Amino acid sequence: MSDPKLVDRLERERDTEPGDHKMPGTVVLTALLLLCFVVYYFANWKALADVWHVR
Amino acid sequence: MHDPQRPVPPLQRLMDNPWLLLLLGVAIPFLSYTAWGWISMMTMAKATLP
Amino acid sequence: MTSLALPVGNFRTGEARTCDTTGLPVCLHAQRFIKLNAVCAVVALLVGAIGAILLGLTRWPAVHLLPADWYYRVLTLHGINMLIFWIIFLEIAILYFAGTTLLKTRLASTKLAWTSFLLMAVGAVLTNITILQGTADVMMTSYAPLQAHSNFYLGMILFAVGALLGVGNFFACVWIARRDKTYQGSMPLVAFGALAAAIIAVVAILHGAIALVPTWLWSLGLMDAPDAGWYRLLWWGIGHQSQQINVCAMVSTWYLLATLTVGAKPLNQLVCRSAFVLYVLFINIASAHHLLVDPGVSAGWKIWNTSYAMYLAVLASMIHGFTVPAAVEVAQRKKGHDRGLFGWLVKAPWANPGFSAFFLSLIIFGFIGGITGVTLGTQQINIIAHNTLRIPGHFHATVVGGTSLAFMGLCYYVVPLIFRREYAARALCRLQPYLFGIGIVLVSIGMSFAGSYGVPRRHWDVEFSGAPFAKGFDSGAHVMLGLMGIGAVLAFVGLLTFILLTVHAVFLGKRNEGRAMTAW
Repeated sequence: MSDPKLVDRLERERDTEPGDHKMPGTVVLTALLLLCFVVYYFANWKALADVWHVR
Repeated sequence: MHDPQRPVPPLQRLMDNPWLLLLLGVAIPFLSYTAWGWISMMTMAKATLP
Repeated sequence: MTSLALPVGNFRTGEARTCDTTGLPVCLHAQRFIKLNAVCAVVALLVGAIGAILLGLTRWPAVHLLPADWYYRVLTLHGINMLIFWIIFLEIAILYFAGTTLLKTRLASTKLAWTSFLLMAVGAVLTNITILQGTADVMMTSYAPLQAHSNFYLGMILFAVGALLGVGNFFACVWIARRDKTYQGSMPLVAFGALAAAIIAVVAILHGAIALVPTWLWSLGLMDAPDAGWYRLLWWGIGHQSQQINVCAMVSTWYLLATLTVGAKPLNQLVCRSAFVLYVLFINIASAHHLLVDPGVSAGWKIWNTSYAMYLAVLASMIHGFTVPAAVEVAQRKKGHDRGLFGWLVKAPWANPGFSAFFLSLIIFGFIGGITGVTLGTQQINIIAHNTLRIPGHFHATVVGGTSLAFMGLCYYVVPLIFRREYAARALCRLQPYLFGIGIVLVSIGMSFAGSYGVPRRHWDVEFSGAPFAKGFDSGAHVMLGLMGIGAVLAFVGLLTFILLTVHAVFLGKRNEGRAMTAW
């Protein structure tokens, strides 16, 4: 385990530091999740439409 | 989380009050899920035989 | 033993120690109950795991291992041990940790903790014995008017009451901490997550009591059978809500493991805490999706509870799903792992089982569990998925790939820090989360796609052997059931490896008292 100890990290968990909001990789991962959701959700509505015809 | 000189925002006051959270956390699902579900079942008209 | 009077918190002399690794205070009374509950959790996990492999090899048509009666018996055993006993025993351990160590407070009541533990343990044993005696083949849901032996309900009630007392002890710790001002300002985020889990537990256990007490009296012949619709409404108030305790405890575990493994800190306190508040207020309502095809409740009730309100809880999961990896990314970039979009992820401590279990849990929960959950909870889509194998495909990604894997990651720190014993066979420890994670992904995907072919859940023989008319599923469904079976074997090997490593560490592991734990 690297320093500082957990107790110090918890004490300082509310402090903000420079670079606290640089997270481009997570933004891409999140966009990928959203894309997967859109595809899966659409496929399910399509499957429903195939068996449940609206007249 | 906040500057001691400034008033505590309402959302943070809610988050720092475990008893209010407990009350709301029990009341909201009880009303929305349980009580409404019961009422919904009790008021459902009985199916008639064809 | 390094017991000492501590400069922080409200501990009495000799009743606490400072953790040599983390510097956190550890209440020695709470430590005993963390150990007891964690041991019972792992025993329940072992029982559930034996059930899991037997079921996996029965649902794989090429093997079809168990006879019909034992299939439903083992399905009951597996569901209750995995979804109730393993998870809630460990959650009570987490509450004792969060309520004392993180809030720097002594355990509110040792007597209450003993009562809670004994009731839970007796309840779990009584329920399991009743199931194995073959008098409770009612599956986890035990839908009335399907009736089990009264000891089955009694065991569940004792367990629930014990768990409620454990939760009460946690709230008493919170009350003492606030009275003695053992923490400044807001409580730490992980403790706040545990508080959210405890509130959800209260709702779940109260529903369990309302559903199971009349059912128990009915099984004793003292009451008429409860109305089937009423029972289902109330039972899902514990059945699904106990899984929402898992979600909250799992997210808290993610934050804790992110801090322990890469030194991450929450990205934004207000955002993270607001997401927990959304869980507290709205996640329990989502239980309604189990009743989407029930005729007894109105369309308005179904639409409100599964659409508008459920999406507020989904929003909370999406917030955590963003803030947790973002916190890891920020921490990694600050350490210099700043190359490209994913240099931080490539350079993450993948050989640390605490990290790999946590991050795999995050990915499996979000990408498989989250996406399938929102889709299946949509009222219209639910009609093509209800009671198919797609449903267990979803919750094996959330509860097993998500919660259980995260809890395994937590154990890789709980054993060295609380039991003060080191894991042996470190290479096997590093491999274990991958074995289990890959196995459970195959199980989940196999189940989900087999379900898309219409394969039902809770069904002993989807080939309908001996039926007068030939009926079965096409080859695509069989490929998927085979994939599920292979995944079940892999996951079982991963799970058994975890249990053996943990049991060895707890009883025979090298002691680390007086020094920091060996870094992963």
